[in-house]
Amino acid sequence: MKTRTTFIASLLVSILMFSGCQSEDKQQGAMFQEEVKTIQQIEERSADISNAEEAFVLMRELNQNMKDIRDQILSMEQKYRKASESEKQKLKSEFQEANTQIDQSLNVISGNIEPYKEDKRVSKMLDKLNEIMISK
Amino acid sequence: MLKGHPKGLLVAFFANMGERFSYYTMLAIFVLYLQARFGLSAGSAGDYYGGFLFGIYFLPILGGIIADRWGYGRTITWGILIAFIGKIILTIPGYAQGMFAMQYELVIIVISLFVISLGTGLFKGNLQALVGKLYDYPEYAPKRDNAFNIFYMGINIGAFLAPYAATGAVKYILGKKGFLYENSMPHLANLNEKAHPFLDQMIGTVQNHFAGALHYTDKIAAFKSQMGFGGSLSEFASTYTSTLSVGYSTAFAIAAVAMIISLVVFVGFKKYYKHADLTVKQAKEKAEREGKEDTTVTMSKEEEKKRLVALSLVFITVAFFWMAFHQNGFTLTIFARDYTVSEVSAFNYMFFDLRTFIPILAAIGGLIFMFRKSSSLKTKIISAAVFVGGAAIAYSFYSGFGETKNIEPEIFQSFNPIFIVVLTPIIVGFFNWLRKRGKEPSSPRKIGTGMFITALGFVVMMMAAFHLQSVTGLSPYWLIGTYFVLTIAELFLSPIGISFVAKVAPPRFSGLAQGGWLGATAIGNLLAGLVGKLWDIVALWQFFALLVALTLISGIFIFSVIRILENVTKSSDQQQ
Repeated sequence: MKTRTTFIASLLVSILMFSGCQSEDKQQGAMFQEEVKTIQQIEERSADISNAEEAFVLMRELNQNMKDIRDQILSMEQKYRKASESEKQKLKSEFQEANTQIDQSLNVISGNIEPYKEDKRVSKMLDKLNEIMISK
Repeated sequence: MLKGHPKGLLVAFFANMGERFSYYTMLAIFVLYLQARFGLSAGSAGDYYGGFLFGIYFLPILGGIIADRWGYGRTITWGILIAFIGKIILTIPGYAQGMFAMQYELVIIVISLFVISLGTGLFKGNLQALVGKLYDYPEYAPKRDNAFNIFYMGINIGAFLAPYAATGAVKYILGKKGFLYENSMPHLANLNEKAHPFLDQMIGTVQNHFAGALHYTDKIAAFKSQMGFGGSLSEFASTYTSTLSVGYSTAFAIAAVAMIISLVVFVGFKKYYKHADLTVKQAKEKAEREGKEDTTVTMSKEEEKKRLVALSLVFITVAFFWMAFHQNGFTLTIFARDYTVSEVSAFNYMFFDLRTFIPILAAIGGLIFMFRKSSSLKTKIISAAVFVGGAAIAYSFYSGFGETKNIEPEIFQSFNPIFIVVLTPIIVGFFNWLRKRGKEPSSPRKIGTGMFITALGFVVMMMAAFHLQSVTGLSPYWLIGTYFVLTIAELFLSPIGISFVAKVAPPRFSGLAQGGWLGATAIGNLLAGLVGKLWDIVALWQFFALLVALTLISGIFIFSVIRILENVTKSSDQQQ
C-alpha cells in the first residue's frame, strides 16, 4: 500500500509541477497595448523590405498579430456587453485609441508591401489577412 | 504475423479497434460541435477539450487501481458500458434541441465527458494490462513485443477510419437538407447573432488598406447563395447550425454503436482470454479452490521497488518522446501551412488522396507477394489480381486529377496512421528475423533506439529548414519523410513501451502501471505545447535542433540506465 501511495503521489506531483509551468493570463488592457506595440515594430521593419521573401515573412507576422488583435476584440466585446455605461465608455476609448494606431501602421505596411503583392506567397498571406477577422 | 499468438490477442485487437474508432470519431468533431452548438470561442472549447483529455489520460490510473483489485475483464466491460452511456448522453443536446436551456445543455455535455473519460479510464490501460497477461506464459512470453505491435495497429486502424466516419455522418445529415459541409459556418453564424461594434470597425480598418477584407455577413451570404437557401441570412445561419448539431450528434451516435460492437467482441469471445484475466488475489483464490499449487509470483517489497523505479525511468523518457512526436498536430502542421508548397502535381497528389493512395499500397503489397519465393501459386494469382486492381483504381482517379492539385496542411497528419498499418508487419517481421538469429534487442534497447530514430526524424526537419533558405516553398516529401521516420520511431517505442510496462509491472500493480504509462503520455502532450511556444521565438533550424537535442539526451539517458532496465526485464522473464 505504501509503495502504491508513493507511486501515485509522485505522478500527481509531476502533474502539478507541469501544470504550474503554464503562464498566467495577462490583463486585458496590457495585452492590447502589446499587440499595438508589435504592429508598430512590424511597421518599422516594413521600411527595410527588399525582396518577396522578406515581404512574405513580414506578412506572416502581421497575420499572426492581427489574429491576436481579433481575439482581444472578441473578448473585449464580450466584456462590453455586460459592462456598465461608464465602463463601456472606457472600453470604447481604449479601442478607438488602439484602432487609430493600427490604422496608421497598416497604412505604412500596405504601402511598403505594394511592390511584392503579386508574389504568390505574399498574395496568399494577403488572402489570409482578408479572412482573419472573421475566422476562428 | 498472427501465427503462434494466443487468440485472446485478436479479441483485444478488435475490442480496442472499436473503442478507439469510437473515441476518435467523437474527438474528430467534438470541438467543432461545441462551437456550432454553444457558440464557444476556440479558447473556451479548448478548455472543455483539455479537461476531457486530462480525464482520458489520468483516469486510467484510477481504472488501474480498481482493476488490480476487481479483475481486468470485469473492469474493462464496465468501462465499455460506461463510455457507451457517456456517448449516448452526448447526443442529447443535438437531438433534443429546445428541450433544455443552453446552460443545462452544457451541464449535460460536462456530465457526458466525465462519464466517457471514466469509462475510458476503466478500459484503456486495463486492456493493455490484460494483453500483457496473455503473454505471461512461457510459450508466448517471447512474442510479447510483437503482440503489442499488432495490438497497436488496431488502435491506428480505428483512429485512421474515425474522421472519415465522423465527417461522413455530418455530411449525410446536412445533405438531406441540401446543405454542404462548411465548418466555418457555426463561427460565422455566432458572429451574426450579436452586435460587434469593435470587430466591425476593425474589419473596416483592414479593408481601408487591404482592399479585399471580408465582413462575416459577406461570407454567410456567399454560402447561402451557394447552397440555394431561400430565407434571410439569419434564418439560413440558424437552420444551418441546428442541422449541423444534429449531424454531429449522429456522429456521436455512431461512436456509441462502435462501443456496442466492442462490447460484443469483448464479452462474446471471453473464453479466449478468461484464463489470463486474474488479479494476484483471484489467482491465489482460484488455486486454493481447485486445490492446485499457487503459481502466482510473490514479490518482495525490494523487488517491487526496483521495478517501479525502472518503470518511472521509462515514463520520463516516454514523456519526452510524446513531446517531440506530438509536434505533428502542432508545429509540423504550421510548417506544412507556411513553408511547404500548397500545390502539387497530379502524380504527387496520388499520395495525398485516399482513393489513390490505398490502391497504390494494395498494388505494392500485391507485387511483393507475387514475387515472394515462398508464395503458393494461389497466393501469386490473388496477388497479381490485387496488383492489377489496385493499379487500375489508382490510375482511374489519377487521370481525373488534372495538372495540379491543392493540398491542405492538416492532411499530412493522416500519413502517420497509414504508415503504422504499413510498417507494423515489416517491423514485426524484422524483430522476428532478429529473434531467430538470437539477436533481438531487449525492450529497453528498442525504446532507446526509438528515441535516436526520433532524433533522426527531426534532423530531416533541420535539413529542410536549411534548404528553405534557398527556395521559397519546400517539397511535401520533406514532411512525408519526417512522418515516415517518426512512425518507425513510434513503432520502436510506443507498443514496445506498453509491452515493457506489462512485463515489468509488479503483478499486483499491472493495471496501475498501464495507467502510469498513459499519465506519462499526458505529460508529454503538455510538454509538446510548452516547447511549441518557442516556434515563434527561435529560428526554424534552432527549433528542430532543440528537439533533436532533447530526444538524443533522452536516448542517451535510457542507454545510461540500460543495466537497471535490463536487470528487471531479465528477472521478469525468469519468473515466467
